[in-house]
Amino acid sequence: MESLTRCTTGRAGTLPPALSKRALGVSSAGNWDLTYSTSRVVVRVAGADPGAGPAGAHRATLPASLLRQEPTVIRTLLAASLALAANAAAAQNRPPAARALEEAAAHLADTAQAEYDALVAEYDAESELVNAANLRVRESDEYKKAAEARDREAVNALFKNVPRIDRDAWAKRFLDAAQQHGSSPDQPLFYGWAFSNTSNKELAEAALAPLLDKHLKSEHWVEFSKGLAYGSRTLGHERTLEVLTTLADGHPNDLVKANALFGRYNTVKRATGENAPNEQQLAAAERDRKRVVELAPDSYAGMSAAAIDFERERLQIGMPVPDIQSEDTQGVEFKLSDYRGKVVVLDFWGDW
Amino acid sequence: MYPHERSLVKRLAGEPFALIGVNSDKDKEKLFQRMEEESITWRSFWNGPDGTRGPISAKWNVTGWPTIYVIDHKGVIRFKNVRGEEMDKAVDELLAEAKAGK
Repeated sequence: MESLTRCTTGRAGTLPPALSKRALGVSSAGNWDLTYSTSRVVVRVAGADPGAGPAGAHRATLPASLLRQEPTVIRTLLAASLALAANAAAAQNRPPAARALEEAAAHLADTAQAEYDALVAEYDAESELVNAANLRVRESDEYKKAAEARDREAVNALFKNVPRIDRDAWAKRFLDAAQQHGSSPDQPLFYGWAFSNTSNKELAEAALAPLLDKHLKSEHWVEFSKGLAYGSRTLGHERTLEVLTTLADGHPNDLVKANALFGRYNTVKRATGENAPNEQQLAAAERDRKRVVELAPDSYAGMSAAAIDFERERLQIGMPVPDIQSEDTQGVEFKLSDYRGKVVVLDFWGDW
Repeated sequence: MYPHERSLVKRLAGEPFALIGVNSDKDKEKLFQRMEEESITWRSFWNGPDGTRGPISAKWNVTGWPTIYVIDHKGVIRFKNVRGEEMDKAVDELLAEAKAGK
Protein backbone atom coordinates (compact mmCIF):
# COMPACT_ATOMS: atom_id res chain seq x y z
CA MET A 1 0.00 0.00 0.00
CA GLU A 2 2.76 2.35 0.99
CA SER A 3 4.74 1.72 -2.18
CA LEU A 4 1.66 2.45 -4.28
CA THR A 5 1.25 5.82 -2.61
CA ARG A 6 4.90 6.55 -3.23
CA CYS A 7 4.53 5.57 -6.86
CA THR A 8 1.76 8.05 -7.52
CA THR A 9 3.44 10.99 -5.78
CA GLY A 10 6.02 11.39 -8.52
CA ARG A 11 5.44 13.65 -11.50
CA ALA A 12 7.87 13.79 -14.37
CA GLY A 13 10.67 16.24 -13.62
CA THR A 14 10.10 16.54 -9.87
CA LEU A 15 11.91 14.07 -7.66
CA PRO A 16 9.41 11.99 -5.66
CA PRO A 17 9.92 12.22 -1.88
CA ALA A 18 10.82 8.51 -1.76
CA LEU A 19 13.91 9.27 -3.86
CA SER A 20 15.21 12.17 -1.75
CA LYS A 21 18.56 11.56 -0.11
CA ARG A 22 16.84 11.93 3.23
CA ALA A 23 14.29 9.21 2.48
CA LEU A 24 17.04 6.95 1.18
CA GLY A 25 18.88 7.44 4.48
CA VAL A 26 22.20 8.70 3.10
CA SER A 27 24.11 11.02 5.41
CA SER A 28 26.10 13.52 3.37
CA ALA A 29 25.48 14.86 -0.14
CA GLY A 30 27.85 12.51 -1.95
CA ASN A 31 29.10 13.07 -5.50
CA TRP A 32 25.85 12.00 -7.17
CA ASP A 33 22.31 13.23 -7.84
CA LEU A 34 19.09 11.63 -9.00
CA THR A 35 16.70 12.80 -11.67
CA TYR A 36 13.37 11.21 -12.38
CA SER A 37 10.91 10.93 -15.22
CA THR A 38 7.81 8.72 -15.49
CA SER A 39 9.85 6.01 -17.18
CA ARG A 40 13.29 6.13 -15.60
CA VAL A 41 15.53 7.14 -12.72
CA VAL A 42 18.94 8.52 -13.67
CA VAL A 43 21.93 8.79 -11.33
CA ARG A 44 24.33 11.52 -12.34
CA VAL A 45 27.81 11.35 -10.91
CA ALA A 46 29.64 14.64 -10.66
CA GLY A 47 33.08 14.90 -12.21
CA ALA A 48 32.90 11.39 -13.62
CA ASP A 49 33.48 12.20 -17.25
CA PRO A 50 31.83 15.38 -18.48
CA GLY A 51 33.21 14.85 -22.00
CA ALA A 52 31.45 11.54 -22.40
CA GLY A 53 28.13 13.12 -23.43
CA PRO A 54 24.63 12.17 -22.33
CA ALA A 55 25.17 8.48 -23.05
CA GLY A 56 28.53 8.40 -21.30
CA ALA A 57 29.65 6.49 -18.27
CA HIS A 58 29.00 9.28 -15.78
CA ARG A 59 25.48 8.10 -15.17
CA ALA A 60 23.40 5.00 -14.62
CA THR A 61 19.78 4.63 -15.68
CA LEU A 62 17.20 2.45 -13.98
CA PRO A 63 13.50 1.88 -14.69
CA ALA A 64 11.05 4.10 -12.79
CA SER A 65 9.54 0.97 -11.18
CA LEU A 66 12.52 1.25 -8.83
CA LEU A 67 10.31 3.64 -6.90
CA ARG A 68 8.13 0.76 -5.65
CA GLN A 69 11.01 -0.72 -3.66
CA GLU A 70 11.95 -0.15 -0.04
CA PRO A 71 14.62 2.56 0.53
CA THR A 72 17.33 0.01 1.39
CA VAL A 73 16.60 -1.92 -1.82
CA ILE A 74 16.64 1.30 -3.88
CA ARG A 75 20.05 2.13 -2.42
CA THR A 76 21.42 -1.33 -3.11
CA LEU A 77 20.20 -1.28 -6.72
CA LEU A 78 21.56 2.20 -7.36
CA ALA A 79 24.91 1.24 -5.83
CA ALA A 80 25.06 -1.95 -7.91
CA SER A 81 24.28 -0.14 -11.16
CA LEU A 82 26.99 2.43 -10.41
CA ALA A 83 29.48 -0.32 -9.62
CA LEU A 84 28.72 -1.90 -13.01
CA ALA A 85 29.15 1.48 -14.71
CA ALA A 86 32.47 1.88 -12.88
CA ASN A 87 33.64 -1.51 -14.20
CA ALA A 88 32.61 -0.52 -17.72
CA ALA A 89 34.50 2.77 -17.43
CA ALA A 90 37.60 0.95 -16.20
CA ALA A 91 37.36 -1.49 -19.14
CA GLN A 92 37.14 1.50 -21.53
CA ASN A 93 40.34 2.84 -19.92
CA ARG A 94 38.73 5.90 -18.37
CA PRO A 95 40.16 5.87 -14.82
CA PRO A 96 38.75 9.24 -13.60
CA ALA A 97 35.21 8.16 -14.52
CA ALA A 98 35.74 4.76 -12.90
CA ARG A 99 37.00 6.40 -9.68
CA ALA A 100 34.08 8.85 -9.46
CA LEU A 101 31.55 6.09 -10.12
CA GLU A 102 33.16 3.84 -7.52
CA GLU A 103 33.06 6.66 -5.00
CA ALA A 104 29.35 7.23 -5.66
CA ALA A 105 28.66 3.48 -5.42
CA ALA A 106 30.47 3.26 -2.08
CA HIS A 107 28.56 6.28 -0.79
CA LEU A 108 25.23 4.71 -1.74
CA ALA A 109 26.20 1.37 -0.21
CA ASP A 110 27.20 3.00 3.08
CA THR A 111 24.33 2.46 5.51
CA ALA A 112 26.20 3.49 8.68
CA GLN A 113 24.31 6.76 9.18
CA ALA A 114 20.91 5.14 8.58
CA GLU A 115 21.65 2.31 11.01
CA TYR A 116 23.04 4.72 13.57
CA ASP A 117 19.84 6.82 13.33
CA ALA A 118 17.72 3.69 13.75
CA LEU A 119 19.68 2.61 16.83
CA VAL A 120 19.42 6.07 18.40
CA ALA A 121 15.67 6.09 17.69
CA GLU A 122 15.35 2.71 19.42
CA TYR A 123 17.26 4.02 22.43
CA ASP A 124 15.11 7.18 22.53
CA ALA A 125 11.92 5.11 22.44
CA GLU A 126 13.12 2.97 25.36
CA SER A 127 14.18 5.94 27.41
CA GLU A 128 10.83 7.61 26.76
CA LEU A 129 9.05 4.54 28.13
CA VAL A 130 11.26 4.55 31.21
CA ASN A 131 10.68 8.26 31.78
CA ALA A 132 6.92 7.82 31.44
CA ALA A 133 6.95 4.96 33.97
CA ASN A 134 8.93 7.09 36.42
CA LEU A 135 6.58 10.00 35.94
CA ARG A 136 3.54 7.79 36.59
CA VAL A 137 5.02 6.82 39.95
CA ARG A 138 5.96 10.38 40.87
CA GLU A 139 2.45 11.61 40.10
CA SER A 140 0.71 8.83 42.01
CA ASP A 141 -0.97 9.53 45.36
CA GLU A 142 1.01 6.71 47.01
CA TYR A 143 4.26 8.42 46.03
CA LYS A 144 3.15 11.86 47.18
CA LYS A 145 2.08 10.42 50.52
CA ALA A 146 5.33 8.51 50.97
CA ALA A 147 7.43 11.51 49.93
CA GLU A 148 5.60 13.81 52.30
CA ALA A 149 6.11 11.37 55.18
CA ARG A 150 9.78 11.05 54.12
CA ASP A 151 9.25 7.32 54.08
CA ARG A 152 12.31 6.25 52.12
CA GLU A 153 11.45 2.58 52.22
CA ALA A 154 7.98 3.15 50.76
CA VAL A 155 9.44 5.38 48.02
CA ASN A 156 12.01 2.73 47.10
CA ALA A 157 9.30 0.07 47.03
CA LEU A 158 7.24 2.17 44.61
CA PHE A 159 10.18 2.51 42.22
CA LYS A 160 11.23 -1.12 42.59
CA ASN A 161 9.33 -2.36 39.57
CA VAL A 162 9.94 0.66 37.37
CA PRO A 163 12.29 -0.31 34.53
CA ARG A 164 15.68 1.38 34.25
CA ILE A 165 17.65 2.10 31.19
CA ASP A 166 20.98 0.27 31.11
CA ARG A 167 23.20 2.78 29.32
CA ASP A 168 26.25 0.52 29.49
CA ALA A 169 24.34 -2.26 27.74
CA TRP A 170 23.36 0.29 25.11
CA ALA A 171 26.96 1.47 24.80
CA LYS A 172 27.91 -2.17 24.10
CA ARG A 173 25.28 -2.36 21.37
CA PHE A 174 26.72 0.75 19.72
CA LEU A 175 30.24 -0.70 20.00
CA ASP A 176 29.05 -3.94 18.38
CA ALA A 177 27.25 -2.06 15.62
CA ALA A 178 30.44 -0.09 14.89
CA GLN A 179 32.13 -3.37 13.92
CA GLN A 180 29.74 -3.71 10.97
CA HIS A 181 30.85 -0.39 9.47
CA GLY A 182 34.62 -0.60 9.52
CA SER A 183 35.07 1.06 6.14
CA SER A 184 32.48 3.84 6.59
CA PRO A 185 33.48 7.44 7.34
CA ASP A 186 30.42 7.40 9.63
CA GLN A 187 31.74 4.59 11.82
CA PRO A 188 32.83 7.17 14.46
CA LEU A 189 29.15 7.96 15.12
CA PHE A 190 28.73 4.63 16.93
CA TYR A 191 31.91 5.02 18.97
CA GLY A 192 30.99 8.62 19.76
CA TRP A 193 27.61 7.62 21.15
CA ALA A 194 29.12 4.86 23.27
CA PHE A 195 31.83 7.18 24.58
CA SER A 196 29.41 10.01 25.38
CA ASN A 197 26.83 7.85 27.12
CA THR A 198 28.77 5.51 29.35
CA SER A 199 30.36 6.21 32.71
CA ASN A 200 32.14 2.86 32.61
CA LYS A 201 35.85 3.50 32.05
CA GLU A 202 36.46 0.24 30.22
CA LEU A 203 33.66 0.87 27.72
CA ALA A 204 34.68 4.49 27.30
CA GLU A 205 38.24 3.41 26.48
CA ALA A 206 36.98 0.76 24.04
CA ALA A 207 35.14 3.50 22.13
CA LEU A 208 37.95 6.02 22.43
CA ALA A 209 40.76 3.82 21.09
CA PRO A 210 39.41 3.58 17.50
CA LEU A 211 38.30 7.22 17.62
CA LEU A 212 41.84 8.33 18.35
CA ASP A 213 43.76 5.72 16.32
CA LYS A 214 41.63 5.44 13.21
CA HIS A 215 39.35 8.47 13.19
CA LEU A 216 41.47 11.22 14.76
CA LYS A 217 40.77 13.61 11.88
CA SER A 218 37.07 12.74 11.47
CA GLU A 219 34.58 15.61 11.02
CA HIS A 220 32.40 13.86 13.59
CA TRP A 221 34.75 15.12 16.30
CA VAL A 222 33.07 18.53 15.91
CA GLU A 223 30.06 17.03 17.71
CA PHE A 224 31.90 14.72 20.13
CA SER A 225 34.40 17.35 21.22
CA LYS A 226 31.64 19.60 22.63
CA GLY A 227 31.18 17.11 25.45
CA LEU A 228 34.91 17.11 26.16
CA ALA A 229 35.14 20.91 26.52
CA TYR A 230 34.54 20.47 30.25
CA GLY A 231 36.82 17.48 30.71
CA SER A 232 35.79 13.93 31.52
CA ARG A 233 34.96 12.32 34.83
CA THR A 234 34.96 8.86 33.33
CA LEU A 235 38.54 8.82 32.10
CA GLY A 236 40.37 10.19 35.12
CA HIS A 237 42.72 13.19 35.29
CA GLU A 238 45.86 11.96 33.52
CA ARG A 239 44.08 10.14 30.71
CA THR A 240 41.71 13.07 30.12
CA LEU A 241 44.67 15.41 29.63
CA GLU A 242 46.38 12.90 27.34
CA VAL A 243 43.26 12.49 25.15
CA LEU A 244 42.62 16.24 24.93
CA THR A 245 46.25 16.89 23.98
CA THR A 246 46.12 14.26 21.22
CA LEU A 247 42.96 15.87 19.88
CA ALA A 248 44.19 19.47 20.14
CA ASP A 249 47.45 18.59 18.34
CA GLY A 250 46.02 16.11 15.84
CA HIS A 251 42.70 17.47 14.60
CA PRO A 252 42.65 19.90 11.66
CA ASN A 253 39.41 21.67 12.67
CA ASP A 254 39.70 24.86 14.79
CA LEU A 255 36.43 24.20 16.61
CA VAL A 256 37.63 20.74 17.68
CA LYS A 257 40.99 22.18 18.76
CA ALA A 258 39.18 24.91 20.74
CA ASN A 259 36.93 22.39 22.50
CA ALA A 260 39.91 20.18 23.34
CA LEU A 261 41.99 23.09 24.67
CA PHE A 262 39.09 24.41 26.73
CA GLY A 263 38.64 20.90 28.12
CA ARG A 264 42.32 20.87 29.07
CA TYR A 265 41.99 24.31 30.71
CA ASN A 266 38.95 23.20 32.74
CA THR A 267 40.54 19.89 33.71
CA VAL A 268 43.68 21.61 35.04
CA LYS A 269 41.79 24.45 36.76
CA ARG A 270 39.34 22.17 38.54
CA ALA A 271 41.81 19.53 39.66
CA THR A 272 42.17 19.14 43.41
CA GLY A 273 44.25 17.05 45.81
CA GLU A 274 47.30 15.42 44.28
CA ASN A 275 46.35 16.72 40.83
CA ALA A 276 46.00 20.35 41.99
CA PRO A 277 47.86 22.53 39.49
CA ASN A 278 51.14 24.30 40.31
CA GLU A 279 51.93 27.81 39.07
CA GLN A 280 53.49 26.58 35.85
CA GLN A 281 50.50 24.39 35.01
CA LEU A 282 48.13 27.28 35.74
CA ALA A 283 50.08 29.53 33.39
CA ALA A 284 49.90 26.86 30.66
CA ALA A 285 46.15 26.54 31.25
CA GLU A 286 45.77 30.31 30.82
CA ARG A 287 47.59 30.06 27.48
CA ASP A 288 45.17 27.28 26.44
CA ARG A 289 42.25 29.49 27.33
CA LYS A 290 43.50 32.48 25.31
CA ARG A 291 44.06 30.15 22.37
CA VAL A 292 40.44 28.94 22.60
CA VAL A 293 39.23 32.55 22.18
CA GLU A 294 41.52 33.03 19.16
CA LEU A 295 40.56 29.74 17.49
CA ALA A 296 36.77 29.82 17.82
CA PRO A 297 35.47 33.11 19.27
CA ASP A 298 31.84 32.44 18.26
CA SER A 299 31.64 28.90 19.62
CA TYR A 300 30.25 28.18 23.08
CA ALA A 301 33.75 27.22 24.28
CA GLY A 302 35.15 30.46 22.80
CA MET A 303 32.48 32.61 24.42
CA SER A 304 32.91 30.83 27.76
CA ALA A 305 36.70 31.23 27.59
CA ALA A 306 36.32 34.96 26.83
CA ALA A 307 33.69 35.34 29.56
CA ILE A 308 36.30 34.52 32.21
CA ASP A 309 38.15 37.72 31.23
CA PHE A 310 34.88 39.65 31.02
CA GLU A 311 33.95 38.65 34.56
CA ARG A 312 37.42 39.47 35.88
CA GLU A 313 37.63 42.85 34.16
CA ARG A 314 34.03 44.08 34.09
CA LEU A 315 31.93 42.27 36.68
CA GLN A 316 33.68 42.87 40.00
CA ILE A 317 32.14 44.65 42.97
CA GLY A 318 32.60 48.41 42.61
CA MET A 319 32.59 48.34 38.80
CA PRO A 320 29.91 50.03 36.69
CA VAL A 321 27.62 47.27 35.50
CA PRO A 322 27.88 46.47 31.75
CA ASP A 323 24.62 47.12 29.94
CA ILE A 324 22.44 44.31 28.64
CA GLN A 325 20.20 44.97 25.65
CA SER A 326 17.95 42.12 24.61
CA GLU A 327 14.39 40.86 24.39
CA ASP A 328 12.31 40.08 27.44
CA THR A 329 10.35 36.82 27.68
CA GLN A 330 7.45 38.49 25.79
CA GLY A 331 9.75 39.46 22.93
CA VAL A 332 9.97 43.18 23.81
CA GLU A 333 13.43 44.73 23.57
CA PHE A 334 14.75 46.54 26.66
CA LYS A 335 17.96 47.55 28.38
CA LEU A 336 19.30 47.02 31.87
CA SER A 337 20.24 50.73 31.88
CA ASP A 338 16.52 51.61 31.54
CA TYR A 339 16.46 50.99 35.30
CA ARG A 340 19.27 53.42 36.21
CA GLY A 341 18.19 55.43 39.27
CA LYS A 342 16.75 52.30 40.85
CA VAL A 343 18.35 49.64 43.00
CA VAL A 344 18.39 46.52 40.83
CA VAL A 345 18.65 42.86 41.74
CA LEU A 346 19.78 41.09 38.56
CA ASP A 347 18.83 37.46 38.89
CA PHE A 348 19.97 34.75 36.45
CA TRP A 349 17.24 32.17 36.89
CA GLY A 350 15.47 29.31 35.17
CA ASP A 351 13.26 26.37 35.82
CA TRP A 352 14.35 23.25 34.01
CA MET B 1 13.77 30.70 45.34
CA TYR B 2 10.55 32.24 44.08
CA PRO B 3 8.80 32.82 47.43
CA HIS B 4 11.62 35.00 48.74
CA GLU B 5 11.90 37.03 45.57
CA ARG B 6 8.15 37.36 45.33
CA SER B 7 7.95 38.78 48.87
CA LEU B 8 10.87 41.14 48.18
CA VAL B 9 9.11 42.54 45.12
CA LYS B 10 5.86 42.85 47.09
CA ARG B 11 7.51 44.53 50.10
CA LEU B 12 9.33 47.09 47.93
CA ALA B 13 6.43 48.01 45.65
CA GLY B 14 6.54 51.78 45.17
CA GLU B 15 10.23 52.01 46.15
CA PRO B 16 12.98 52.82 43.60
CA PHE B 17 13.68 49.13 43.20
CA ALA B 18 13.47 46.55 40.41
CA LEU B 19 14.07 42.84 40.22
CA ILE B 20 15.27 42.00 36.70
CA GLY B 21 15.71 38.42 35.62
CA VAL B 22 17.77 36.73 32.95
CA ASN B 23 15.74 33.64 32.21
CA SER B 24 17.46 30.55 30.82
CA ASP B 25 14.47 28.34 30.07
CA LYS B 26 14.47 26.85 26.58
CA ASP B 27 10.76 26.20 26.45
CA LYS B 28 8.65 29.37 26.63
CA GLU B 29 5.36 27.50 27.02
CA LYS B 30 6.58 25.81 30.19
CA LEU B 31 8.12 29.08 31.34
CA PHE B 32 4.83 30.98 31.03
CA GLN B 33 3.02 28.19 32.85
CA ARG B 34 5.55 28.33 35.69
CA MET B 35 5.37 32.14 35.86
CA GLU B 36 1.60 31.87 36.15
CA GLU B 37 1.73 29.19 38.85
CA GLU B 38 4.37 30.96 40.90
CA SER B 39 3.05 34.50 40.36
CA ILE B 40 6.34 35.62 38.85
CA THR B 41 5.61 39.19 37.82
CA TRP B 42 9.07 40.64 37.34
CA ARG B 43 10.55 41.31 33.94
CA SER B 44 13.23 39.01 32.53
CA PHE B 45 15.60 39.09 29.61
CA TRP B 46 15.31 35.83 27.70
CA ASN B 47 18.59 33.95 27.25
CA GLY B 48 17.32 32.39 23.99
CA PRO B 49 16.57 28.90 22.73
CA ASP B 50 19.94 27.50 23.86
CA GLY B 51 18.86 27.81 27.49
CA THR B 52 21.77 27.82 29.91
CA ARG B 53 24.11 28.00 26.91
CA GLY B 54 22.49 31.23 25.70
CA PRO B 55 24.37 34.44 24.85
CA ILE B 56 23.79 36.55 27.98
CA SER B 57 24.83 33.93 30.54
CA ALA B 58 27.72 32.88 28.29
CA LYS B 59 29.06 36.45 28.11
CA TRP B 60 28.64 36.99 31.86
CA ASN B 61 30.38 33.70 32.71
CA VAL B 62 27.35 32.42 34.59
CA THR B 63 27.91 28.74 35.33
CA GLY B 64 25.58 28.32 38.32
CA TRP B 65 21.93 29.18 38.80
CA PRO B 66 20.72 31.32 40.39
CA THR B 67 23.50 33.90 40.05
CA ILE B 68 22.70 37.28 41.62
CA TYR B 69 24.13 40.77 41.07
CA VAL B 70 22.91 43.67 43.21
CA ILE B 71 23.37 47.04 41.50
CA ASP B 72 22.98 50.48 43.14
CA HIS B 73 20.99 53.42 41.76
CA LYS B 74 24.11 54.76 40.03
CA GLY B 75 24.60 51.51 38.14
CA VAL B 76 27.52 50.16 40.17
CA ILE B 77 27.82 46.45 41.07
CA ARG B 78 27.75 46.34 44.88
CA PHE B 79 26.99 42.73 45.87
CA LYS B 80 27.22 39.33 44.21
CA ASN B 81 25.36 36.13 45.00
CA VAL B 82 23.57 37.30 48.13
CA ARG B 83 20.58 35.13 49.05
CA GLY B 84 17.66 35.30 51.47
CA GLU B 85 18.13 37.72 54.36
CA GLU B 86 21.49 38.80 52.98
CA MET B 87 19.79 39.95 49.79
CA ASP B 88 17.18 41.90 51.80
CA LYS B 89 19.90 43.61 53.82
CA ALA B 90 21.90 44.53 50.72
CA VAL B 91 18.87 45.98 48.96
CA ASP B 92 17.75 47.95 52.04
CA GLU B 93 21.23 49.42 52.44
CA LEU B 94 21.33 50.55 48.80
CA LEU B 95 17.79 51.93 48.98
CA ALA B 96 18.81 54.06 51.97
CA GLU B 97 21.78 55.36 49.96
CA ALA B 98 19.56 56.15 47.00
CA LYS B 99 17.13 58.07 49.18
CA ALA B 100 19.92 59.98 50.93
CA GLY B 101 20.99 61.05 47.45
CA LYS B 102 24.52 59.79 47.95
